[in-house]
Amino acid sequence: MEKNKRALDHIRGLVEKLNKSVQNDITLEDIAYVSFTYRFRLKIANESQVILFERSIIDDLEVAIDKYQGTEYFAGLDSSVKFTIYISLGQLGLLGNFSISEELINDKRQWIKAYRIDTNFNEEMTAVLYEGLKDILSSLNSQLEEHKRMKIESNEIEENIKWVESLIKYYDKNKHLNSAGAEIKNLQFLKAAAVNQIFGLEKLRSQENRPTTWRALNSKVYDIVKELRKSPFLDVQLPSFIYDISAVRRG
Amino acid sequence: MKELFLSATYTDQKDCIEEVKSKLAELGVRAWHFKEGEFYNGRIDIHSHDRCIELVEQIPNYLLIVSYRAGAFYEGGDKSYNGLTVTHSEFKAAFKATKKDQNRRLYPFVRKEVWNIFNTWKDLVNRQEYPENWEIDRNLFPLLSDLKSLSWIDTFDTSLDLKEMIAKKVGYFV
Repeated sequence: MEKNKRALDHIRGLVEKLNKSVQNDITLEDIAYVSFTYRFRLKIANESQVILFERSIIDDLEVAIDKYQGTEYFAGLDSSVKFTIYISLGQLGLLGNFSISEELINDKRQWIKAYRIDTNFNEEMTAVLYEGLKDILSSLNSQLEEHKRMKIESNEIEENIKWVESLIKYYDKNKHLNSAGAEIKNLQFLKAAAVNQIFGLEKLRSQENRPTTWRALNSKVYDIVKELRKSPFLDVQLPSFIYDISAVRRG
Repeated sequence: MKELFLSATYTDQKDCIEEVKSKLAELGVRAWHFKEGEFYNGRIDIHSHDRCIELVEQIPNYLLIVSYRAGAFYEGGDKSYNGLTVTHSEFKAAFKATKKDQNRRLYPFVRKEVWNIFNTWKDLVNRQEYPENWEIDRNLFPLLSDLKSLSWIDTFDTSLDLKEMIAKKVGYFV
């Protein structure tokens, strides 16, 4: 396929890279173009799977490879195609215990700097965010105690604790986390709360032997990921303390 | 906060639309889009396509993004939109409302290749001779014909152009 060759090769490279990170062998069988869609047929776990990429994103990626390599715009397109692959295969359970949280915390794109947006989370997502905030608070409190014991600077941790506490109080008072005009910092903390829950679910999933429970945990992971790939979270950069949380979670 | 109705097919340009919503929020503009939780505002007495039309009529600014796909056909209760796509119906409603109220604004953006192919097709003597390698959804043509009646439209090459143009145009007027 000559048209958009570099963009298609780029995706081929992403599939090959993913193959090295997962247990199942993934091989790209062919690429076809059918009515505005590029269809990548992969063989994984002895089954054929098709991943679809819309023409508009492939067209954009072809131009970006030529003109915008190394820019945030290119990173955003790269992130879009990567997560299309992860979500398409991951939600079917075909990526095994692949750590999508790692991809989320290392995601790169053009992050929004200042922003106010109305938020309206469904009941399930609200529960994920609230539990995540409580968990982050406990983790930050432990880290603060350690800093105090070692007599080292802890202003940043104290500030983050205050912010998490204010969000928890907001939920306790209103029984929701919706807001008319949520600010960027609140959204960063809420995104961190969701990623924190993914860390926890991934850990449980990696220890789980019962296929039914494994599938349910895996499905929950990707349901949260799909929410994070939409407004208001997609363009919100995770706060830097997510690396501390990640380090603790991964032992 | 200013408001705007965002009209575009979604599944074929999902991340782009989400990024546009963020860009608009950054400009202080609240985008009404059917994928937002509060879009239906608890309404269960109205077809989702008619809720779109209702909101287009209520919200003073209308942003249209046209790429390769035409999207689903209108299935609501207003017969005047029968045979049109949802996006086209939304545009018709916005156009009608703008004719009545000059303070309203339309912001149409069309992918350049789509616009160029459409214009070449319009100039064909025999329009049935549609070359197979012209890869756009022909169901877009009625909407594109209507867009021709506007004094201007903006065309974009990539989603990067689109976001920059939106920031410039919408940010200036809204």
